[in-house]
Amino acid sequence: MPDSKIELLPGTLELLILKSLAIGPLHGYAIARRIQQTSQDVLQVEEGSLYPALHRLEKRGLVDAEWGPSEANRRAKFYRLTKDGRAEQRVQEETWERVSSAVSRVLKASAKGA
Amino acid sequence: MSFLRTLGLPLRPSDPRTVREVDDEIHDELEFHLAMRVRDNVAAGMSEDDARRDAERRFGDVDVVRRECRKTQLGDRLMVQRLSLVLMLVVLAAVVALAAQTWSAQRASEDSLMAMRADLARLTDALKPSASPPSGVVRIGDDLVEYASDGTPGTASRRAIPPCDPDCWLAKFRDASWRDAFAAAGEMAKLGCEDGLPILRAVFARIETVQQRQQVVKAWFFAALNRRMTCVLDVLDLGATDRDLAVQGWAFSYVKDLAFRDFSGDYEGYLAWRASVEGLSLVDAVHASARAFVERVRALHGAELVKALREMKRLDFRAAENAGADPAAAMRDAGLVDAVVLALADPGLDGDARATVVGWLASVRPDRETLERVLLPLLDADESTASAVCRALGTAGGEWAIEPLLTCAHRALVAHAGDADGAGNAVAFSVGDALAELRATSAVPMVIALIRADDTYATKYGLGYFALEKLTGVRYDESHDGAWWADWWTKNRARISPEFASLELPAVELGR
Repeated sequence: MPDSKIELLPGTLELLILKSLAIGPLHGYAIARRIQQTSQDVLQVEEGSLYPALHRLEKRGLVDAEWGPSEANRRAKFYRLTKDGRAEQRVQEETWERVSSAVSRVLKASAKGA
Repeated sequence: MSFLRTLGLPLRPSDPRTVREVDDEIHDELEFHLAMRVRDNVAAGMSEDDARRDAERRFGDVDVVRRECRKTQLGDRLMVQRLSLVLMLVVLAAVVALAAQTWSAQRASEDSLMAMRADLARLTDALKPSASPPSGVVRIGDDLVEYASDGTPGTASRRAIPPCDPDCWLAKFRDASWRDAFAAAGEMAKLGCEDGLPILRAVFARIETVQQRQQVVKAWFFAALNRRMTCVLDVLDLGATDRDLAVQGWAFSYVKDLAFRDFSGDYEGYLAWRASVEGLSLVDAVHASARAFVERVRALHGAELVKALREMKRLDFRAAENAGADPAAAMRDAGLVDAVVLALADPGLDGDARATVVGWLASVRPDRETLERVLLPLLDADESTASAVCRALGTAGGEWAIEPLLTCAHRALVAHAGDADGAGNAVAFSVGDALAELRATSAVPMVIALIRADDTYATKYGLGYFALEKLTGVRYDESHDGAWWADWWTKNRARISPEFASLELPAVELGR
């Protein structure tokens, strides 16, 4: 596995956000940190791009948002999955698994055939 | 209206927030992110400047992000507004054209008037008799400060600021970034109300961009408040009557912290409030407004009360306290506690509304007896209310609140015992935050015991990040699970307190 950082594939940011929120409410900065930590620093997200995505998810009713105190004793906007969001996360995750394993199969087959 | 439905647009906006509130929330959210990144960078050893630069680099273009968020949040509303506007334009084209002509003429007169005012000010300075302080020199406290445009040094200047007349001040704002505009306005505010405010009035409407005028209002407001100047409300008035809604929005958000009313959608109400506090000192105006707030809350019920709660989600006293007022005491004396008890009994309130009322109560810092009587029974209520009660105990409670908080955390962990990773356990976050707020070192062993009993992410994060990081100084890490903390406890307990030297972690059962 190369050590360098990888730009996110288009369309994957929403899934990563939904997955991060599956474990409980988080504010945007914590989501960015979680993606960074759980991908062991491999996935590189331009942190600002999280917010339009979060607001779109909020608008679509997939996440709820509430202001509350943060760990830094400042007011922060915490997001959490709604019921629809949880369902969407499962659907997107299954789709991702299917697509990535299909791509993987094709790549392996091509390698054998080469 | 059916054509709106065919376009997929809502007939009325379901979002109760005003445009200004949406803008403020986006601003606050992005600022929070950058501040957290800077904080973590500094903790990692970077200098403040490097930390800020790195945070901005990682974030990307803040303005672009802000615009995109705004478009997402307000897109539907703006589309409906635009459609309405187009229809109105078709019907009223002739009237609008006439209004535009009138406006242009008025604007031209306004500019001429401003220029005449500036000329007159220069002429007046030139004609001042030599017995009075030298031309262009103003008195601030014991200091004489030069501000004239002729470049002649003031005779008794101990603390010189660059000489500047209204046009020169205006030039400082032209093409300035928001930071530079803020700094320039702060410098102008040093001239004080008597000398600075007339200059501000002369130039404010001529400052070109919305962002610059926002920063000018902000800088003046903070300066006037912190130095307890007499013109705080006059400064806000300039913003509140600005030609742009965004500037008005900022001004009204500051007015809200002094008037305890949201006037952003109620300009007549704002004028009435200004009239009601006319002639009062700022401190007396704040206290009168605090009393009026309590009376209003006491008179509202059901949907009207919920509406008022949405307008005033949080009582923020920092601005009023900076001005030397004590709005918490004024609200207590006016009977806020009774009003809160009444509101909490209102069957029309949902969990979120009750959480807001609980927050109000904590803001006025009531005594222990009141907190125990009003809040402790609510720890058994819905999660949203219980979370708010925990936060309130952290803000206003004392050592006595530690035990009920830990009991509440235990109960929440039991309630969420079946959830994947403790998902949704917002109470754990609030308890963690409250314990840290109370500096509850004595709670450390029980908090560790709770994490050991419930190794879910929500508990590790809620209690580890929010409570233990602050109470123990150990930086939060996701890998710090119950076993890690138990080991840490064995090695460090004597260091926390001699009485913990041989204390074993309590056993906690979650009844799984």
